[in-house]
Amino acid sequence: MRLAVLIVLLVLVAPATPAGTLRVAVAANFKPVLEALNADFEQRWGHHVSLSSASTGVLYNQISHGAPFDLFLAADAETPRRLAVERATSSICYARGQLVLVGADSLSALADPGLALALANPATAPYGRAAAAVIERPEFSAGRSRKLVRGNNVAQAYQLWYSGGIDLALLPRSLVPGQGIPVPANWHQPLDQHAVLLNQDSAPARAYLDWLRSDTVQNLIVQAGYDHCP
Amino acid sequence: MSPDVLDAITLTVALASTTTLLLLLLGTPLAWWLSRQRGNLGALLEALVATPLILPPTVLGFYLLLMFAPDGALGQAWQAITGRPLAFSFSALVIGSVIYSLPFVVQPLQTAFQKVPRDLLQAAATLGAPPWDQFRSVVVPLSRRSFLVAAALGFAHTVGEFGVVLMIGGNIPGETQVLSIALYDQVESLQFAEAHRLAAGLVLFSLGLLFLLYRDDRTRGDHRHHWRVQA
Repeated sequence: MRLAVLIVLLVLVAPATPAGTLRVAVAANFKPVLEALNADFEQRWGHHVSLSSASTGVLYNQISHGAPFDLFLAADAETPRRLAVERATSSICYARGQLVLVGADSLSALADPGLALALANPATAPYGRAAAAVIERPEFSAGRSRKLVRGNNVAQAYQLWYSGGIDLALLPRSLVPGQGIPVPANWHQPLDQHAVLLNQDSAPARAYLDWLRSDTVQNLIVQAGYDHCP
Repeated sequence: MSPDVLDAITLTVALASTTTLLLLLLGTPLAWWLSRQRGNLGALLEALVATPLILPPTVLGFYLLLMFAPDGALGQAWQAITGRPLAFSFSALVIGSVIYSLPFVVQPLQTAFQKVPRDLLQAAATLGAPPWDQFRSVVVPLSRRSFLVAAALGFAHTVGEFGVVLMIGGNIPGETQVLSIALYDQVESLQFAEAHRLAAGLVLFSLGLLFLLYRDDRTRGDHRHHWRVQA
């Protein structure tokens, strides 16, 4: 009996979300940017922002299985659009990503089968899909037999390259500021990153989306290694 | 220490404590029943209890996610009763952990219960003690140490969970981001200094807990180690 009471107490005191916390699901490429910017929003609005990051596909899967996020910042346009249609709302572009190759002086390194390459999992990560499209190009066909290492998302792909002795990696420019060779944008589908409001009743989530689209924040996003939305 | 890490510590302790208490409540009668049971049904249940030991956590995570989702059987019922979704919540983690850590609590208890001499129980029965009283006055005192071991292993194993928690909890700071997940997050984002602190802390915790258990075992001169988990 005492045990039962104790359990009930424990479950009651178990950490619940403090009121005013905004839960944002963010694609792994954009998490560092938000981490740097969020203090500004938190100061202005007095809401704490909690970030959960994974690849766009993994987050989509979580959201469609009932994950309690207020806002979703994806690394592509299709996924948020699909969620927006289900919720009778619309998605909005907040950044356009760029792909870079790190670990070599020239893109021709992608034709070298002796150089191992790290990328995000193309099945779940839009940047991984873009990277897969790049290495499929005919001029890199000589490199097909290379060792490919897939991270669950771009952050893990970066970590595998950084600490795992992998020669090359195709990554978002924002993860490796000042490094890498830009990959021509027309070599892959545009990396337009859209956001969608998941909790229509959340005023802070709406405010966050407006704040994200404000000129000041948009300029900071561009400085972090993104292009303006088309 | 960052607020996220503090949140993760609080959350992990809350999860492991809740899970351990629930496991002691559910695992004790189950272990008692198993210790008395012969035949196929008992063997089947014993196998079921032990399955999480050898099953990849992803298998459990996958099935639990399907059940917990808003259109899953359990998720729907939960939503109807509590008004909140089950998947990716603290409650989902508790249910998952109870299943995942079940063998770590049931097996030491079952072994201890099997060792209780039958004639002691018969003597108690002759003295007029009903079954419940036999259990409380004979079995529990004789198995006291195994209860401690079961609780410690259940707690430690829940702290050490990763795959199941990742699949049914997501990675929500303050809600489902337990220590193992926070560490994964830190490694992924190249925060190696923080990751080192967390990882070393977990090594010390696990090692310390097991050391205390083993040392206690030795000072009691009990080298049979009958409580070690066996698959």
